Amino acid sequence: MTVLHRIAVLVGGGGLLAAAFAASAHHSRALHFDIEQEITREGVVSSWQWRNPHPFIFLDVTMASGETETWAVELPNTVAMTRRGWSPESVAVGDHLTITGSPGRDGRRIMTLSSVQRAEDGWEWRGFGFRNND
Amino acid sequence: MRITQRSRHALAAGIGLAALLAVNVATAQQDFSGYWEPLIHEDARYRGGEGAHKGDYSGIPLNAEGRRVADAWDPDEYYLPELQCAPHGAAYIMRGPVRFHLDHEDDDTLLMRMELQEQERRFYFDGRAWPGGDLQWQGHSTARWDGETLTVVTTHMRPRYLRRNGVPHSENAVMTEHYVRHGDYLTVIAIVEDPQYLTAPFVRSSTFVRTDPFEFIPYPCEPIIWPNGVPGV
Repeated sequence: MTVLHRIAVLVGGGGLLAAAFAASAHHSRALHFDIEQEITREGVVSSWQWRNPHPFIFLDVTMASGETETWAVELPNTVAMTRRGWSPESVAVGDHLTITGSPGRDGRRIMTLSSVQRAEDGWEWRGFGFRNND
Repeated sequence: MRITQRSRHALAAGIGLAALLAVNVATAQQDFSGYWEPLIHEDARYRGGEGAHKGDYSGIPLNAEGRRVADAWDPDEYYLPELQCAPHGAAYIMRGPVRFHLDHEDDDTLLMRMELQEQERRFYFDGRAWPGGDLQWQGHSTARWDGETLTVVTTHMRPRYLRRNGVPHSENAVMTEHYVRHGDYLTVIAIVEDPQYLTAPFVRSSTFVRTDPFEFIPYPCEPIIWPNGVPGV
């Protein structure tokens, strides 16, 4: 995906946000995530699954100890994400991403997606909060 | 049988009255055809991004058995491979962020095609009985016009939930929906009766707004198999 393409996706997604409605179609996030908390993880995409009921970004994160942890980042369904400008090409294996979202309950290495930045091309996407149905 | 002049007049008057009533019924029907998208105004907290918490049964007339089943429900069920692609059932799906198209499929059938989860609901006006076989997520729906209100009765729904935190309904649940239009707004008042889990009929309303025609975005579904059987790495 070219930088221009990625920027176009970002701009298009921003426009569509104005017409957004509730994105939670499958399960209640409150059941699986601690929505009162937000964490940020920076790492390299090891797998990108554009599918339903949820797309997932698998992010390999290098910890202070030097060990690598893999985090599963859950996105809303592809219909909602497409309306917000995403596509299967939005992310690629090997991308270096910084992702913020709510962590899974019970210490599971899973999180939601509130925002994502990619240093390589300056791509930044902010989408889903939990209090405003977006 | 001898038909008198008076009886001829009475017959003609009766036919005329019947025709007039038929026209009135027809003109009283609303045109619900078109594209609709939800306004998540009612119960926004439960329907939005946060969703329902475990154990929050506020506003639902659950009986003791319903509460027991809901309390025992495991949220990780959502991530079971065999259930990840299961859609919302008829008793919940209108609460989701579901955009739909509504139109007559034939003279006896109104077809609701939903974008999300690619579900379809058919409302049969000919009163046909459930054909038998496996219960379906969207059940079996018959419909009638009550003046300008479209009334839909749905039975034979595969057991599913009334709220996305395990509040159950049984296969014997009956859902009656009244579709009422106010200009570009369509409100669906849904009443679920299920003595197995409810102490009283459970009543909700959901509102949709007419929108320009749009192309459905495909919803391919493919479960993820989690290494430990639960979500997370």
